[in-house]
Amino acid sequence: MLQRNATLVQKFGMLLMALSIIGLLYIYLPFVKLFLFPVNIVNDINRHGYFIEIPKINAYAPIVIDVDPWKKSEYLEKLKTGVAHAKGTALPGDTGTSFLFAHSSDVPWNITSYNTAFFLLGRLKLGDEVVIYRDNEKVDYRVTETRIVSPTQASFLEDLSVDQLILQTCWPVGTDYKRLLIFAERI
Amino acid sequence: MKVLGQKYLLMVLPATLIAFSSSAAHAEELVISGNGSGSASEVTVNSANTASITQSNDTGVNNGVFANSNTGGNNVNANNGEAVLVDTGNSQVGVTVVNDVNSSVVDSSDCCAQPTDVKVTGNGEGSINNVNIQNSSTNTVTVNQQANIVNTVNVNANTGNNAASNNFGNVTIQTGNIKVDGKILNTTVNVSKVNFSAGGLSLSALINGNGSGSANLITANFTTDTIVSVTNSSDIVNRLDIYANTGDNVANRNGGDVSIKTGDILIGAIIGNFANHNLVDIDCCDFDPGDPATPPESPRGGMVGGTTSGGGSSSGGGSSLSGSVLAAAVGGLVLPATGSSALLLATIANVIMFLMGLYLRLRSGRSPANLTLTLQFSF
Repeated sequence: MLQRNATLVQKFGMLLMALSIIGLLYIYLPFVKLFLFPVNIVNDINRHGYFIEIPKINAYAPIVIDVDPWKKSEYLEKLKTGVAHAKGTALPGDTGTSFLFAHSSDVPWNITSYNTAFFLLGRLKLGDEVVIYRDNEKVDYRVTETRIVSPTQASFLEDLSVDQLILQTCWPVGTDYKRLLIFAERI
Repeated sequence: MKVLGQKYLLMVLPATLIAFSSSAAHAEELVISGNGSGSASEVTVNSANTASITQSNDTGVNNGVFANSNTGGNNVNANNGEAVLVDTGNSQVGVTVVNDVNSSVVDSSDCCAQPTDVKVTGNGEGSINNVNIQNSSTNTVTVNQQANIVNTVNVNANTGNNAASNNFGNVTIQTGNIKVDGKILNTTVNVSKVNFSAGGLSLSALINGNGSGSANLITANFTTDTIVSVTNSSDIVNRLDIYANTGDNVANRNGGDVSIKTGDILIGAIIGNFANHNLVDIDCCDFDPGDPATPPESPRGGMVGGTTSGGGSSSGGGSSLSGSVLAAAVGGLVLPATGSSALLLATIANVIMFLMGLYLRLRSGRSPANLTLTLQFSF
């Protein structure tokens, strides 16, 4: 009797281990896929709208313009389709501060090639290139600063007259504990 | 022909020009920052400014102009023989009296308050932070001007009073024309102009980066009362007496040709009084809350939500302006959450599940006691 119970418990333990491994795979496979098979950037001469390209991390995504960064329900919906441009800041490529934000991670069933464009944003270093496309106009930026701040440190948005591009995502990847900020200036 | 011309010009310009600049500027920076969780901070500022400007001008002017022009009063008597001709020249008199007194200028354009900068930032969770600003300013401008002016202008022009008597021959008397152009101008007496535009306050309020559950309140109440009182009093007496004569010519008992021709009289007299001019110019900066320092859209949890109101009443030539700004927020401005903590939680749950399974897998079947413990733990 005891032997049979021990076998049952043993099998149950194995079942838990198997389920946990499947769960982890389900969670992280999209990220592994993103890492191993980054989006294929095609130089589309017929593109319309705003796009961002970060060659170093193979990020390429459409930019959704005028997204309210303070309404979570709104920006979460918009982030499903690309990188969000914060309403009230300069349009990407225009003079002034343009603030873009996107997911670094999401729940597995929401992850696509475009909505986690900033998954590898933390790999950017000073001098790396960021490209903004406005239709077929190309505006080049170069990373000048990286910063990790707490979610409430928004003072960098107080002066929007500075001609710069700010990219933001959550940090570390898979959490919303901190915010990773990438500052870039026009070349 | 002779022309006798006289011009009299009298100008009285004892003007008083006073430019007064009043400054009620004050600069304040109030910061509640870096307090710990659960702390309670309160800053209350009460200030009052009073500025008073008084100007008094009292001027008395007494002008007397007496002009006499005479080409007449000629007598031709008891002449024999040739024709007698008396031909007087023209008489031309111009008198101008100008009084320009009591000019007052009050320029209070430097009454714009320096910006008050209020920041409630970086305080801990559950903290209570209150800033209360009360400012009242009272500006009083009083102008009193008194002008007493007496102008006496007496013009006497004569080309007549000619006499021709006891002459032989014909007598002809021809008088000239008289033209008098007298003007008294009191067009700009007691003129006051008060320009008032005031806000005089500027407030920048920022509630940012405070912890969740914190309660932050900024209350500001600025009141500016401006009282402008202008009293102008003028007592002006103008006496313009003009005597012009081309007549009263006498020709008696003449037997021959006598001709008397008087010249024309042209009199121009102008009395101009310009008294008690006031210009009170109070041009404090209009209230302009400006753009919030942070993005213009209303943030989640409320970064700065405020109402502004302004209104005023005036009495005694004055005006007042009051306004209030209320900014309140619960919580701070939080940057967009672009990560998912669910991912981390799911990872932890799976790891725990894996460890539990591993534990069950390795510990099962070793001993009844251990098995019991394991089962209890598992369920």
